[in-house]
Amino acid sequence: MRPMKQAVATVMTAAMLTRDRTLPVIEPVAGLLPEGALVRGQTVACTGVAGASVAFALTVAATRAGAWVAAVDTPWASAEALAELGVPLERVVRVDSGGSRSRWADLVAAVVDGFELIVTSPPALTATLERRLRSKLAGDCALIIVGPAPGLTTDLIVATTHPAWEQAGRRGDGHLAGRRVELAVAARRRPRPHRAIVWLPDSTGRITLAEPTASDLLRPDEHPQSPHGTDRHIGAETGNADLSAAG
Amino acid sequence: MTRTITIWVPDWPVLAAGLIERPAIVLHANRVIAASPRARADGVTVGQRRRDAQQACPDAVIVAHDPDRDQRAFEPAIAAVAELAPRLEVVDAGSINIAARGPSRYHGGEPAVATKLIDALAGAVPGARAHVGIADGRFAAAVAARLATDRPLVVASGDSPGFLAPLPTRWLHETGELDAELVNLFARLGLHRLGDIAAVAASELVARFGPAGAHAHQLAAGGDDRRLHGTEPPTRAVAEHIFDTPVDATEPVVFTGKRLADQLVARLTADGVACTRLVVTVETDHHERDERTWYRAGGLTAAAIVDRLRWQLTAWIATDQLTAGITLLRLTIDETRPDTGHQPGLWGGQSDADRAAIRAITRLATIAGEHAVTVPAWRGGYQPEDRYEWVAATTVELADTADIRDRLHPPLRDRDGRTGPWPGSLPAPTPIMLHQPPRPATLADANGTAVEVTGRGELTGTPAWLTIDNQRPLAVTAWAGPWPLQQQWWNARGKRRLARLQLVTDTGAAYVVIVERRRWALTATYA
Repeated sequence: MRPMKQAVATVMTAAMLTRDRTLPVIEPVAGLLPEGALVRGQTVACTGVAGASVAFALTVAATRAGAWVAAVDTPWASAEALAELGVPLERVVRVDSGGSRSRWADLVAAVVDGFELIVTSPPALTATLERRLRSKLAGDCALIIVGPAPGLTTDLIVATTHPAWEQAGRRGDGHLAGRRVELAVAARRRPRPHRAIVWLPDSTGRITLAEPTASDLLRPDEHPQSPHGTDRHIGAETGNADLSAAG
Repeated sequence: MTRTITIWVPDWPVLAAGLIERPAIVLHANRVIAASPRARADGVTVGQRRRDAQQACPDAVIVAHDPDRDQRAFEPAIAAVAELAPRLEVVDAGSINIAARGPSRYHGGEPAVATKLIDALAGAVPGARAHVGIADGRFAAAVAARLATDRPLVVASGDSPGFLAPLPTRWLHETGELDAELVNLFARLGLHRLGDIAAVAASELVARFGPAGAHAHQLAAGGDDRRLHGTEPPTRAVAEHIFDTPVDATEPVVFTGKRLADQLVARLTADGVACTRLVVTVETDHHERDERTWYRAGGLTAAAIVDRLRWQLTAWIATDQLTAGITLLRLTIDETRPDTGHQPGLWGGQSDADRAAIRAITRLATIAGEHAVTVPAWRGGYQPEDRYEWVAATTVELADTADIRDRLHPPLRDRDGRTGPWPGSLPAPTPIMLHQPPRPATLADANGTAVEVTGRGELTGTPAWLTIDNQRPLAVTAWAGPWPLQQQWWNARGKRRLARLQLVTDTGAAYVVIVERRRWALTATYA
C-alpha cells in the first residue's frame, strides 16, 4: 500500500496544458460541447453564416492558456478580428499552402507536431489523404475546419444559423453593433444537438451568451443552461460569461 | 543532511568554445547565457537580448549554445574530479557536486580538498578557474560556489540558515531550483531575501504556491533539499535493458534509453514527481562498467535523460578502453521532487508549447517557404485590412516578450475596443473575413439605378441590391454609413478618396463595401 504517494499525487496540480487531454473552450460554447471542452485529436466543422468566427472563438481559451494556433489556408482571417475575439496574437501563426492538395496534407502533418490547434479551410480531400491526416491527428492537436468539410469524418459540427444584426437602422443610422446567431453543436456520439443563442460578435467583437427571446425556437428542455449547469471558467480572465445582453 | 561540495566553473559554455580569452558571448534563444570576462567588462550580462549585448560589446564573438560541445569539453574535468572524489554528481556542464565527508577525510580537511579540486580542474582544462563552495545541502553549496572567488567559500556545518538569510531570492532561480516567474512573484510580494521566505510559515507558501512554495521554503531555511516535507523517502524507480547480443554502436543503446526514459518519466509523472537525480549505468559483455550520477534541480525530462545517456556513452567509448559490446543499460531514478508541471528554464521563459511551435515553424518554412509562414504585426490604419500585416515568422523573435510587445503594439484597447488614434475608422466589431484584393461589386437602388456617394458623403439612393462578382443580386435589408475617408490627400499618387458602407442582406449576411472613383468593391464579410 502506498497511501503517502497517493496523497502527494492529489496535491500536485495537473493544471498544465500539456498534461490534459482536453483543450479549454470559453463559455458559452463550452457548455454545448459533450465534454465541456475540445478533446485533443478531435475534428470540428464550423458551418453556417458565422462559421469562421466560431472556428476562431473555439481557440480563445486554449491560446490564452498558452497553446498555439496555426491558421492554415485562411488568408482572409483578420488579425484585428481575432484580437477582438480574445485570441492572443502572439500565438497565432498563419500558414499558406499554395493550393496543392498533397502539400496541404504535409503541412498539416508538420503543424500537428507543434501546435495544439489548427484552424483551416481544407480543399476537398481524397480518402487517402483523409486517412493519413486522421492518423497524424490522433493525439495532441484539435483540427477546426471552417465550412462543412466534405470528405472528412468530423467529431463535432458547430452550426451557426438565424443571424440577426443589431443597431443597423434602415436609414443608415448607427453602425453594425452585434450579431445574434443560433449555435447548434452536434456530436458524432451524441444524438441530440445542444443549442444556444449567442452574440457572435457582440459590440466589442467577442462571443457572449444572449438572452433567449420570445421568437426563438428553443424547446424548454433544450435551454442552453440546463444540461451543463452554471458557467465553467477554464483558462484565464475570460469575462465572456456574463449573462447580460451585450452591446 | 549531506555536507556537499559544489564545483562551479563560471561561463563554462565560453570556455568550451575555446573563447575565454577573447570577448565572447554564447546565445540561446536570442538571450545571453554566458559571456567571457572581457565581454562582461564591457557590460554584457546573462539574460540580455542579443542586440543589447552586441551594442555593449560590438567586437564580441558570438556562438550559439551547443550542449553537446559543452559536455564533451567537460569530460576531462569530470575525470579529474573523479580521481579525487569518485562519488560525484554532474549537475550541468561546468558544475559538479560531491559528498564532502569521504574526500575531505582522505585529503585532510575541507579547504584542502577544495584546493586540490581547483588545481585538478585547472590542470584538466586550460583556462578553467573553478569556484568551490562547501555547505550543508546542495542549494547552500551551489550558492556558496557562486559567491566564492579564487578561494573556496566554506559555510560551517549548521550555519546554512544564517548564510542564506541575507541573500536575495533570485538565487533560487539562478541555481535552477525554481522558475523565474515564481521568484519574481516572491519579490512582488515583498519577499526579497531568502530569510524573508524562511520567515513565512511553510503552510502559507504551500497554500499560495503549492509544492513549489514548500520547496522554496525548505531551501531558503537551509533545510534538506532531498526530502519533501521530511516525509517518506522519494520514489525510486529503475529501468534496465539487457541486450541479447552485445551492441557496439551508440545509437541502438540511446534508442533503448529513450524508450526506458519515456516509461520511467511517465511513471513518475503519474505519481506527481519529477526525477532530479539519475544514475546511468552501462556495462559491457566483459563486465566493464561505467556509472555516472546526473543531477538537475529543476527535474529531468525524458529528453534530458536521453541527452545525458548519449553524452556519457560517447565519452566512455571515446576513452578507447572498451573491449566488448554493451550488454546492459540501466537507468536508476535516485531522487525526485514534486512535479510542478513545468521545467524551470534557466534561459528564457519559453514553455514546452512555445518551443514545439517554434520548431514546427522552422520546419514549415522549409516545406512551404519563409513567406508562407507568417505572424501578425500591428501596423495601424483606417481600414481593418490595414491595421495588421503578416510578416515572415522566421524573421521575428517569437518567444521574446519585449519583441512581442513591439510587434503587436498597441496591446491595450480603450473602452470601446478601439486602438487609437484612428478617427474615422470603423467601430468594433471588426469583420473577420477580409477580401484582398477587394471583390468588384455593384450597388443599386430598388429601380436598378446605381447608388453613389456624393462629395458631401451622402448616398444618391437607397441601397436595395448588392451584386458581388456578377453573381445573383442580394437584397439589402439594412445599411450603415457612408463613412468617407480621405487618405494622404497631400500625396498626388497615394491619395485616395473613398467611402465605406456596411450592408446587411435578407439572408442575414453582412458586408463592408467601399466605393472609390464611383466603383464599388467588397472588402470584408462578417463571417
